[in-house]
Amino acid sequence: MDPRDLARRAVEICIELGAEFADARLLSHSGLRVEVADGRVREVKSMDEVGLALRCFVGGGWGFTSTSILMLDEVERACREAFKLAKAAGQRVEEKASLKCECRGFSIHVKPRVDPLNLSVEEKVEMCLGMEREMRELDSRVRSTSSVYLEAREELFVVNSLGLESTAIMPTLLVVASAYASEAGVTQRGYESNGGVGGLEVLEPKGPKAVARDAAQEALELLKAKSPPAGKFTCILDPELAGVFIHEAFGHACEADIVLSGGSILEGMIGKSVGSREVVVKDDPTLKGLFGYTPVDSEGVEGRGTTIVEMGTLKSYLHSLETSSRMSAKPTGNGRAQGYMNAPIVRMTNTFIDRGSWKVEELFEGVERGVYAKGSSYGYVDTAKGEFVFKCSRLYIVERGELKQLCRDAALSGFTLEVLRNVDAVAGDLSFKPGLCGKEGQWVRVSTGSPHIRVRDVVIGGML
Amino acid sequence: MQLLDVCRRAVEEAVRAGADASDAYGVEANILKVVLEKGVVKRASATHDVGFGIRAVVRGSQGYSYSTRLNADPREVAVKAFRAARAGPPDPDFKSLPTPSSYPSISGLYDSKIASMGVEDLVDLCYSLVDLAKRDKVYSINMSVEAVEFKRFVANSNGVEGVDEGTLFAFEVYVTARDGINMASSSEANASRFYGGLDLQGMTLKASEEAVKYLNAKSYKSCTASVVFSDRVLATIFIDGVASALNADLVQRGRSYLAEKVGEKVAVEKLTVVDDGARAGGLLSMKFDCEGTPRGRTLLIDGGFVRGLLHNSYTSGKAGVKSTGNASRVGGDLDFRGRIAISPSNVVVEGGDWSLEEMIEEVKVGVLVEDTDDSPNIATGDLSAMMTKGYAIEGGEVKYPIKQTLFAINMLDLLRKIRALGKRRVKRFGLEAPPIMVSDVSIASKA
Repeated sequence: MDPRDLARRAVEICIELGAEFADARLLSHSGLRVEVADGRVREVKSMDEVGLALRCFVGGGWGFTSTSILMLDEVERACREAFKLAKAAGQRVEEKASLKCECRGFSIHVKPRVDPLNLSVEEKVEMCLGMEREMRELDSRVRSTSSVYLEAREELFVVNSLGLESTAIMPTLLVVASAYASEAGVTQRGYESNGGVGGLEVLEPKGPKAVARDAAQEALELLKAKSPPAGKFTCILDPELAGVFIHEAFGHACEADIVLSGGSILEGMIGKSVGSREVVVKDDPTLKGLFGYTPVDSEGVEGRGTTIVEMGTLKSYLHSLETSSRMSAKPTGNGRAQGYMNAPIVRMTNTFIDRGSWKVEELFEGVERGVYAKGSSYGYVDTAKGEFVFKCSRLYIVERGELKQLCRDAALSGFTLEVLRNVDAVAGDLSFKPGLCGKEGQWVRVSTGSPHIRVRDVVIGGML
Repeated sequence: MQLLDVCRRAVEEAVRAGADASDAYGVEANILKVVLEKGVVKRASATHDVGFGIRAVVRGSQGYSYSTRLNADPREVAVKAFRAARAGPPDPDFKSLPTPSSYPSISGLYDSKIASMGVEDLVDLCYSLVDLAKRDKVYSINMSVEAVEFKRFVANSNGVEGVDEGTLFAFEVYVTARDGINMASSSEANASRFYGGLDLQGMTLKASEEAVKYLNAKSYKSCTASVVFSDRVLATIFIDGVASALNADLVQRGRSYLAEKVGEKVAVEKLTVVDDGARAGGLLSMKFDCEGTPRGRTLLIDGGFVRGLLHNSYTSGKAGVKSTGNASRVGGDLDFRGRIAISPSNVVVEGGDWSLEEMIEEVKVGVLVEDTDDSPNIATGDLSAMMTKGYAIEGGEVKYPIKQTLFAINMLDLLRKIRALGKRRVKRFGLEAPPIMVSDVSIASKA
């Protein structure tokens, strides 16, 4: 049986068994990953996998299973299993919400403009080796290097019992460079990446070698860095770090599944003021080319841009089909799953602070003593406490508006409900970075973006 | 065809295609999971992940491929791995894949009770625990329970063959408390190879009590203080900060802050850290690692000196030593898709002679840190982290929970400034370690 017909049949079987709602998601994933370290290949991996994910909704409970065996008898077994799981899960659910899906199916085929399949595997290995040479030739203090090239192609077909059918064919591409520089017993790491949805064209204008150079330059620059100061500071964040900041500080707490589970400090805050009028926060899965571009989510729902915060007021959460049904909201296309072995949960896509009216240099004016934080290592949040932390790769002391000493390894922390009130200036230089976001053990591609912003009262964990 | 046969065939096909060496790693994992949200079970899932990954080596260059289709011809997968390997330049540092040796027999790694658990058992378990967490101001109770049964298979072109099986049971509880607009949370998580290995009631009660306590959390002050590290943060220090920094690959490439310290004294004399992959009942114990080398016991730090590194076959070949059986897969030991890497197994830190109460009393004014989600920068050893669970110590007693407070210290300073080691060791995931008291930790807070 044709795999798509098998998916359609699976939905019928689940409904015949007694499910109130069912969907089937067919996902094929193929690609190539090359990783080179210190001039030697660490991995050249060919990826090719197909699987079917099945969900049943019964009495308010979800059952989920998946299979990589696309035969009717196996799919029938999986349907029975998903139904049994849903029934067991829903046995004591009192809130008997029905699922609504007032959205049309959507199909998209993103074609790479410069198809990476026209390059041989050897040429991709050479691309990685070339990135490494770029880093090493920059300076003899660059002692150890790694580079990664990742190309993937995902083909998604979703069908549900409310009549929705969607397809998406999405190529993605990512390059990553890491450099370790050493001098006088000190070792520092630099990291840079570039990527998006599409073919090799997503790497322009900042191609693999430029990515490599930036990683090496960061490591070299950090050799001069001192330990960061500790305490409360006015902080200017560069677009990369501000993007991660808004993702962690605010984005996760707006995911409606977290709100419904009683785990978000933003529950009940729709329509209320959460920040200064300077701040507009959006999640937009429709931004083409970006790494978080998700025109169709894993539930088959067409993505649409959501304004989360407008002029400082909380406007909307991010939704899956379940959360939008339970909260009487419109689906936003944020139900995403890592792979066919994972059930969709609410995830961000391209999340960003929108452009403001300030010039970047104006953000530094009048800062008597503060910090300028650049580049991001990672971040995380406790959405209930509203407490978040994010790590910058470089931190400069700012004195009387001027950049002074460079510091390393600083953690910056704040509170969700306070921090947007403390954003007092937003510049106009919006830009995005690709990243991977983890939640409940699932990793999905996202972009985070922002212009330069200035935030008061950020706590920095450094040395006293 | 059995998965071991598939692995064998795949290896043969890779060699037939022209590979100098090859191995295959197969996994069959059944994962049953139930999630309770806001006091009610809402989701149940069953994941059956079956497949094999194959590695082909051509002049030292390593190519990988994998498949979840066991009935398909393994030749196609093997040839893909061979072509991938052929695309890379020669790597003279690659010496050999493991050769056959006998595997240890380790008790306590398989529990038929976990293997036979059904979805109803897990649902009933959640409901039997949820009432324990209910108390005034508790706003939501969330849990997840997971029963996992797995089999691992390995075969290589040197004649290595192995089959291993195991179970594990994982539990996580996350409780939020609310008082008006003020919200707080607390979580507990752990896993065991056997069903009775976790105190589920105790974990649930603790999460609930601490969530409510955290409603009264206050900011701390910015200062330099003595800190008692206990509970989950010990994994950040000893797994992420010590064992992971002694990964031979990072050391050989000069990417670890301990790279130049092998054989040197880096810690106080009383510190002994061991990686023990064959420990009875150990969460990460297995007969063999992800390349088929027997798991073993490796002394990492002894008397404060760096004594050992964690190796796989590549790094041990490069260094001319024996592999320590720490080959892992990127994505975890049950992921046949990822490439070979190096990971710690069970990390065991020898205890000292202090009780936790004695350490707190000794600190007088300082902080008790129990958890952070941060990890050290392995290249520099700098650890700058948010306390996701921490308490102020005043007058030698634990006083109040603290919020929005960060601590920072370099790992080399931390290891040299351990003033006391606890008697009673904490068992969390793959770690068994005592609480430690450390002086001169930098604390940053809003106040």
